[in-house]
Amino acid sequence: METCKLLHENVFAYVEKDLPPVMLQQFDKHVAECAECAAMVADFKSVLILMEEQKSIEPRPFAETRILQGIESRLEKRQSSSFPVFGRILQPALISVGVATALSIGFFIGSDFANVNSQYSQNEEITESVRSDLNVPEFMTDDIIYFTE
Amino acid sequence: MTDQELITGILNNDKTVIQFLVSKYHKQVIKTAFHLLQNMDDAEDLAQDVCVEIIESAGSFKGASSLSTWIYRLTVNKSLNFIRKNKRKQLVHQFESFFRKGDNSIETRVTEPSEYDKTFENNERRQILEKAVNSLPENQKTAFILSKYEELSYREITEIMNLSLPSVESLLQRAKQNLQKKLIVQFSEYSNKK
Repeated sequence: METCKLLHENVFAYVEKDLPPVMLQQFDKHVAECAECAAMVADFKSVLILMEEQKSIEPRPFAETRILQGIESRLEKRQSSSFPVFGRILQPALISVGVATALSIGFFIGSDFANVNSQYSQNEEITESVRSDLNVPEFMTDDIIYFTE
Repeated sequence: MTDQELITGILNNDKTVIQFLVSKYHKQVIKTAFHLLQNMDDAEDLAQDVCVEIIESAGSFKGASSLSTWIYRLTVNKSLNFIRKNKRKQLVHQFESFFRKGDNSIETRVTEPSEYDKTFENNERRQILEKAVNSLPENQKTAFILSKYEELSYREITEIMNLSLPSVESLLQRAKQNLQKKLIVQFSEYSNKK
């Protein structure tokens, strides 16, 4: 039982023969007599074989070609989307200038329209005062068209 | 071609050098990524990522370690990030591969019964080993794979994992002990099921 416990603690090292020779001999002798430990050792020996298989795993056919194609397309994509001067600086700058110009034109037209309106109402006020001073009937001034500059 | 010549060629965007780089290192990258990710599709995708990273950051390679070590480091880091980000996706793959292995065993039924038993048992054992290795803590798993599957020296592992020699030795010792414990439990459960 003592050796069973000891072998359980060192089974990996035992199958890899990574133990002092005295210990290896002791375990060899024990495994020949103990069926349970012999089964465990067999399991771990199969693990070593599986680990050997894992070492020899190979990439699938044409993996190299697929990788090269993938790299090429990814690098091309990155290059086409990385025009920092136009994409990051020039484009936003042009948009800002455009918006600013549109706003200025809007303000200019708007202010001019306000001037026209105020001039129009001034003219109307003068006509009204003249009409009332001279007692001109209202229907006679209805068709007056006010010209502005 | 020396490491420095390779790096210079990459920096000059020399396509022949890039082809040489992929031809020389794709096996190493795919194998390491496959051992860490347990999925060949993901390993190939990751190999592309690693190659693009090499091309884009070749300028940062100072030559303190060999190019191979640097590529191992990139592969391990990218694989571990992938595992962290895709834990859910990995569960689905394991589930799929479990059923795919089931299908394979059905196909092998046409062979001799003893051979079928052997294949089936090998598949079961392989799954037990994969599960045990995957359940190791990240650092132990990485050190174990680099040492046992990639057969790298302790010195190389210290450079790849950026750890001291005693740390790597202790990591590998703990990885073996943990794996041993897990395998004993799993194998006894498996033989009880049989």
